[in-house]
Amino acid sequence: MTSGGARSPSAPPRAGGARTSQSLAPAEALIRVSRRREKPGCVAAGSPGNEWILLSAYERVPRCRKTMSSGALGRAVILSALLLIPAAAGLSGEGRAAWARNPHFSLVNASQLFLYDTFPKNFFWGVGTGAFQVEGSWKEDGKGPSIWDHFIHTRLKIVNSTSGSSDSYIFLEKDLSALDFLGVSFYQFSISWPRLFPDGIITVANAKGLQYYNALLDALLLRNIEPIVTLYHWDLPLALQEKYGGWKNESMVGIFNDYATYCFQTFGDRVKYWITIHNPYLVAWHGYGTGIHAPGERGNITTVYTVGHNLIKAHAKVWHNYNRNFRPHQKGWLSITLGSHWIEPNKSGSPVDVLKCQQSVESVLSWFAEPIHGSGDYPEGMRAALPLFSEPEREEVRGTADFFAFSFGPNNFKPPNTVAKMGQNVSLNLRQVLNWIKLEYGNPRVLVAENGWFTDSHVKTEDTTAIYMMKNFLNQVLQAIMFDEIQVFGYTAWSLLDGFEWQDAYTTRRGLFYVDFNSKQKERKPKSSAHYYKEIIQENGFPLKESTPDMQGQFPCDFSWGVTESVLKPELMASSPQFTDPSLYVWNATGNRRLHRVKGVKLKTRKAQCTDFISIKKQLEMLARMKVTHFRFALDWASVLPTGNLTSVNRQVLRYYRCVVSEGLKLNISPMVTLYYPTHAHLGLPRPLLHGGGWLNPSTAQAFQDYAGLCFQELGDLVRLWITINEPNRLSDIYNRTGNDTYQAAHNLLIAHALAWHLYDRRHRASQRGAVSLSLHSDWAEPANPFVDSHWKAAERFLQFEIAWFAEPLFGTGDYPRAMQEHLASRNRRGLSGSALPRFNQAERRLVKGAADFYALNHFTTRFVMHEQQRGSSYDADRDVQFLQDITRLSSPTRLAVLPWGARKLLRWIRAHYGDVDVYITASGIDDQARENDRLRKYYLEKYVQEALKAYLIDKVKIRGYYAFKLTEEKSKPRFGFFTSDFKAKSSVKFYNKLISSGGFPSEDSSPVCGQTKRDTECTVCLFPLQKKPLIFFGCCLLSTLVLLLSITIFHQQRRRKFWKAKNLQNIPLKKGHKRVLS
Amino acid sequence: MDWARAESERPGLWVPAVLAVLLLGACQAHPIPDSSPLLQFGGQVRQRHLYTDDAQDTEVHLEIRADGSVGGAAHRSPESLLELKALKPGVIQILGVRTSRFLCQRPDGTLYGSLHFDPEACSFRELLLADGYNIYQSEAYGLPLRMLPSDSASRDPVPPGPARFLPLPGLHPPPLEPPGMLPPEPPDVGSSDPLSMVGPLQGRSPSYAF
Repeated sequence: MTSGGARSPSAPPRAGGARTSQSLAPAEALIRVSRRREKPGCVAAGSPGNEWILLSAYERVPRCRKTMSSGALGRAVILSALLLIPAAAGLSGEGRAAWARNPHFSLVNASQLFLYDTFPKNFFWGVGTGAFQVEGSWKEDGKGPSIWDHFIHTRLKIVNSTSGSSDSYIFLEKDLSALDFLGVSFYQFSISWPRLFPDGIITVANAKGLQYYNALLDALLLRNIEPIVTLYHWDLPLALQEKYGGWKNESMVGIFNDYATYCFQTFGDRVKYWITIHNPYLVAWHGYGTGIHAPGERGNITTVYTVGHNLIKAHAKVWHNYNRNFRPHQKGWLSITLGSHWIEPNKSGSPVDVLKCQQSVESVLSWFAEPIHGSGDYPEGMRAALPLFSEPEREEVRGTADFFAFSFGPNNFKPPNTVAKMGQNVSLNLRQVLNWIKLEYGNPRVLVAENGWFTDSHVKTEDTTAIYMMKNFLNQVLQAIMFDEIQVFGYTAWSLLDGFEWQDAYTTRRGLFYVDFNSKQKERKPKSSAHYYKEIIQENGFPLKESTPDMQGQFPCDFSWGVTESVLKPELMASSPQFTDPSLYVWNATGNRRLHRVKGVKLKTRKAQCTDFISIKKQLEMLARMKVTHFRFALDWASVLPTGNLTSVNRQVLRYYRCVVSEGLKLNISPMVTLYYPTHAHLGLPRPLLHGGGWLNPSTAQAFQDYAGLCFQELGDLVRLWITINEPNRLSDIYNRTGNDTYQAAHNLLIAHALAWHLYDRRHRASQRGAVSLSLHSDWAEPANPFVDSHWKAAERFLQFEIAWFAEPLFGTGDYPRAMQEHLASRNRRGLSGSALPRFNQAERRLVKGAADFYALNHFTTRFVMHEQQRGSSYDADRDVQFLQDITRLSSPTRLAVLPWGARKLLRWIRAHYGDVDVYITASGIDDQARENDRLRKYYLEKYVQEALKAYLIDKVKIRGYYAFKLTEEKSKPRFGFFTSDFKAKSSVKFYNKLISSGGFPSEDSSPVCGQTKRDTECTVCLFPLQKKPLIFFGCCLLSTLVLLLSITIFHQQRRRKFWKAKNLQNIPLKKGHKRVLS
Repeated sequence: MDWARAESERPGLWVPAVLAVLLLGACQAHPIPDSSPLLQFGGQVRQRHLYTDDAQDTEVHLEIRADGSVGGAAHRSPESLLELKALKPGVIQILGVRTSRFLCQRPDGTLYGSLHFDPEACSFRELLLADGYNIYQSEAYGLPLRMLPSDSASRDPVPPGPARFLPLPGLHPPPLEPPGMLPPEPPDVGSSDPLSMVGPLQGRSPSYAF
């Protein structure tokens, strides 16, 4: 309570809230402990079980309580209770379920996607340091040497211990300002044992050392920062090592308890959270096994296990000491920080591999956790090798932690050959380990007592990867809390400062604050990760979404809903010779089972027709199933013009393409035709042009114009939408020998497109009324590190190099973007690059400017871009960018990130730069492994179309069409298709078709889509005669025959009647005539 | 009287005339577009397994393997699914669906799978037998298509005559890869970027993959 008084009365509500949650905590913690201890007694005693009633807060325990209260129930019930208790407590081995395969697992489930949410109220945000890592001043002010001081000087000679430190002992104020900057609710630090007691033995404390820790604690309380104090973070007084052999000796248990007692007595009034030992596994394993940690002993496994045994006993003794003597008035909590790696089975779901994983984690984490948090004894599988716990010892050890302090960082993974992998794959999935702990130890309250990753020592304040590692870990913690109901109450980012990193010494950095170890003043400079962590603490998580909420609305009726296909390989001949061979044959005439041509007989062959091409039929079937309004495909230039010029035109190929178009139109599917579609495998140029230098040769542009002219002429009457070249800005991946090659090829491509456009404009537009443009690969770019200005610039520069490079000449000034020119010039000045953009002359500028009727873009993903100066004269180097994959985001097997909001940002960027042009998204899609239920593709489609709709309705971008990429996929290629390579429809087909028929995302009460009803009625009316042609023909025949017959009958009847009439009229002369007849 | 007569005669003459014109018009109707005479076979290209039991110890299906070798498989496999397509009357080409290799024959009669279609080596004459079996002969060499007995070391003592093949309807091969995600690469825990976030190899356009 005194400490409460010391706190400023005007505590901010966050910290105040934290206090209330803490005041609830001890009761819970104590109950937990008592439950553990009474575990075996629950059944045997059949006692009133009053302590069980207290446990109602725990999930599964009420079942036990029920059994107890209804004591009249028979033995069977009691037996079942016996079975239930271990389940409630979490049983050793139960963690195996953490690797169980979930049949409903999907990457697009909400529980797997990045979680936009806040942490529970009063979540405990902190940061940590280890005394030896940051304090420095290793022999000042009466501090004794620790085993690590000795270890550095004798073993790690590379380390210059005098210069390398952040000197927290000297610059306490600087540490405190760093904590203020972050706004943490707690600070986890350790007390240097030899700074208080130079030779380790508890006598009179070193006054200077005592003063330092008192000052630190008081300053923290003044700032409303909760101290979490670790008693032992590996810096054992050297004297104890030399005198007793360190932790190998059981007498350390008592000495450590004395030291702890002193600390409780001295600091316990201000400290509510105690950690006895930091990561005992590493102390035992590396200190006494591998020898890479102090004291550097390379012992056998027995020594290692003895050390572990003593560490556990020391912890248990201290816990009992605190529990008995200090908790009643200090009201704090105490635990031990246990660290672990994580591991995933080689083959998911394989029971053998899962068992190996379980053993792997048991050998590290359960070694200490099972005695302390579990049964009181070592895990069963390890018992044979480990020292024995006697029954009273088990009682002494069991349940000696008030919460589960867990460390998950690089140290448990290093060095890789010392990790107990058991042939499985290590993993950085923090969420899974937390789940494992929940399963094994009965969902304890968890403090993540150390988490983070490291950067290389040359990284200063721009630690971009650290941001994403933190984001990844923290979001996993959030998911664990929200979806898996794991009681994580605090998180310690490691570490506050750069410092000494144990076996890595100063070659890696883990601080949120950068410290120049060679400087005098050791200023703490916030790194990007510090800014990022500060934001997370302020927001209490990740509540801010990049995208606005989904909206309802529709695209206009004339919106083109399409699907994209790459080059259609033309069928060179009709599929069956029956259609072209005029001869008549007889089979088996002489019994030799051969066909014999009948000489002299020539039949008339049927006229060629589009159904002769079987591939068209298949395509149409697929398109009809998709119910798209538009089909985008590409022609094969090399097939149409094998020689590259108009001297030899392959009419058959043109006929094939015309058939594709005309047959599609019969199904109301309009074509969008791409003239030139290069790929990595095929540049797609006619061979002579390829040998003539390809796009590096300006005459290729002329040849392209001729080819385009031919296509306009042959197909233009049916085609309204033309794309000259697909992704010319990505030919940079092929013409990549030098930057100058890339820029020259691009230059010729631009001219080629412009020539084709002008040709269309001059000759065909008036009669064909179509539109011509080119498709630019247009991914969006975000700065990877939003806290660094250079990354923002790099992102914009990337867009300039990727998009504006082609878009600016066409839609803007008629020249290359200024930013690009300037950047290249500056690189040339600095001698980094020798490449330069070609220049447009006046005529070319006039030619290029405005030579596009709409903006066509292929958008697949958003990329995170960082600035990185590169050397070399290639296009890639000239951009001075590096890319980063945000691992927290959903991504495809080929690592395309699914970031729908990027599409909208891109569309806005285009509108801002190139004005109010018509926009077609001519390709947009994702690869998905699934062969049937392609959930990722459906998710992608829904979200990306949603963002396009927002851009259309809110940002007023004139989007005229969306073409999903792509119709079919090929074998052993990334799976982008709506149909598999053997033409089976995936479930996204149905999904897309629903999207199309509703025209977007209509609200429930909106009137039916405009085109829908019209098209439907039109279809029923027009399709019927088309489909039932033979029937109608037959019916007509029947009807006309009937009418003919009828009319003949009527005609005859009338003639007969006339005849009789005439007879009647000449009745009297008839007699005469009769006679005449008779005679 | 005359008037009445003319009146009654007129419909009798006009109706057939009009009908004839109408029918003439109908006679000019376009052919039904989807009128392939082979549609009853489910397309003009057949996907078949070629089953044979001649000159073999067991029953086999001809299969074209990825390395270009040709052999026999006891059960229908993805490699034994063949696409038979007519080249000209009575002559077909045989394409392995899985490996995209054409079945071809060397002048000595041995079989191989070729990625390129050589009209001389890879065209076969299809002879239909009364019992439903077929015989295939190399068009250029006239050699019968036959498979070496599985025990290829001992040369066949019987004079090689034509082998009879039964084209069995092609069942679609089972999915090549099991669906689902491949396990992610284990992290490189020795690196400051264990999950390989930073890297230039992420910029290739999906358009260029096809």
